[in-house]
Amino acid sequence: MKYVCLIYNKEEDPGRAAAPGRDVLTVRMRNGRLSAVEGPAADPEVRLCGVVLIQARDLNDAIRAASRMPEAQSGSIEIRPVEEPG
Amino acid sequence: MKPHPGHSAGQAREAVETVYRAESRRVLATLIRLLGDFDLAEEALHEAFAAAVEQWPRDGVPAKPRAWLVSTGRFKAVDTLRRRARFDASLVKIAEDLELSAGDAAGRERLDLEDDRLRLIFTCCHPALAPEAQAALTLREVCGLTTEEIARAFLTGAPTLAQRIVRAKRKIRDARIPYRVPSKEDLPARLDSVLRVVYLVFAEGYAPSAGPSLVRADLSAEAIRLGRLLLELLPEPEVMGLLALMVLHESRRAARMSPSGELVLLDDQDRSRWNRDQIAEGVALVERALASRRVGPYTIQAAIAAVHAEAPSASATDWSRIVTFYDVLQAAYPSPVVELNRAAAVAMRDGPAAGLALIDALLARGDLGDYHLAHAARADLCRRLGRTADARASYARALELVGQEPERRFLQKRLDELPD
Repeated sequence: MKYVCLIYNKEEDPGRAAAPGRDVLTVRMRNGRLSAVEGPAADPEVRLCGVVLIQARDLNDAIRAASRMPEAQSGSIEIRPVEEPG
Repeated sequence: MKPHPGHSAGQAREAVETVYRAESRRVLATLIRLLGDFDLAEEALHEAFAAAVEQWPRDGVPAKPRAWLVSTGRFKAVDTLRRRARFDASLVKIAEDLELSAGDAAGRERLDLEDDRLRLIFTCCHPALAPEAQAALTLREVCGLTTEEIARAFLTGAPTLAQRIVRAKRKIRDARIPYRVPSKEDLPARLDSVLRVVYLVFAEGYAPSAGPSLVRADLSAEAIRLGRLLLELLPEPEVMGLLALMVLHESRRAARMSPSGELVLLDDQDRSRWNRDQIAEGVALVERALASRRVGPYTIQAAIAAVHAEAPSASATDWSRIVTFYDVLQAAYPSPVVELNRAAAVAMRDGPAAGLALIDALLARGDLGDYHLAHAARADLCRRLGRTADARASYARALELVGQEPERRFLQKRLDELPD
């Protein structure tokens, strides 16, 4: 499965509208604790600062990969599945 | 390691995929034991397979891929811990201990491999976890299903299920749920939740709650394998009963579907296509379990399945015996579904009118109003009594409630076949 990771972090551009979506999940690492919450990264203080396409076995494997990204420590990583043709 | 002369790079990549499918859960189970941490073990598993993708095409596939993956995973975990130890000094000691234990653990590893899976089952089915989390964790970590597959099986969104798995793992870590097979005293209680999860996995493979496919043989096979493993460790009557029940259901798999993929009811199945070896195994297990005189719900259900399995035809089935077993089951473990099954058996013993009276009473109580099989059973009895209009109404209600495609087609066919 392929997943796209949208990386959000604190920037000067507030007021980003949280995108709706059923298959979205947001990953954060705080003090070594992983949290995965259904839905987009809804914090209005953050803005999109990167996009990464990853290959993972399943959604939990994608969460594991996202939790290793340095940005997960301070920002949020939003994971969405990528529809593969066929 | 020398490059294998017969192996191209493509074959090696294929080997990695094959080994992943066959061994990744066993390797994970062992890594969890060695590392004592779910997340670290998953990271190590991932890195071990990443190393395999890189090295096997170049160096050849190792003679013992599983052992290679375990030891590579362990070394990767030590690296990870050392890296993180730069920020957290407490990890230095863990990393050192892990390195020291690498040598003496290697010999023990092979013996422990199946035990590791059992440890993992008991951890995943720990009562401190929510029941739905137990099943989800077992299916993913022990059986190797993907989050998306489990989400589909449970008719839930993948993010919801992923979140549930993340929380369960955090709970295991925070509550320091030990990674081991429980002690003799704790075993009976802990076993109950394991058996329930194993049966849930089997049922999902045998009759998925929804979706286009009638059976998922791989899931059922996995559940039976887990059942055998449990029985080996713990020859408890209910483990025998559960294994018997699964094997006896499994024996009918080939006859349950027509060549065109349509559902065939038990009474109409071609019994020559039932698997006699599995029936013999199941019946022997039931007899052993019944002889223990500590009979639980799985054993009784298996005993009922055994009566069916040994009958030459539906009409030549010992329905009195089946009704008696349902009486025992209903007395000890009352449930409306048991009552429904008992009513169907009474209909076979005493005629459709007797069964219909029981089902109508059951539906009047309101317990099974949303259960499609209650309406399907009622429809069938009405049909046999010539009450066509009632049969039509009940088939229509069952069709509204059914989730599974082959069952829906079956009910539609029955409805269409009713006389005007």
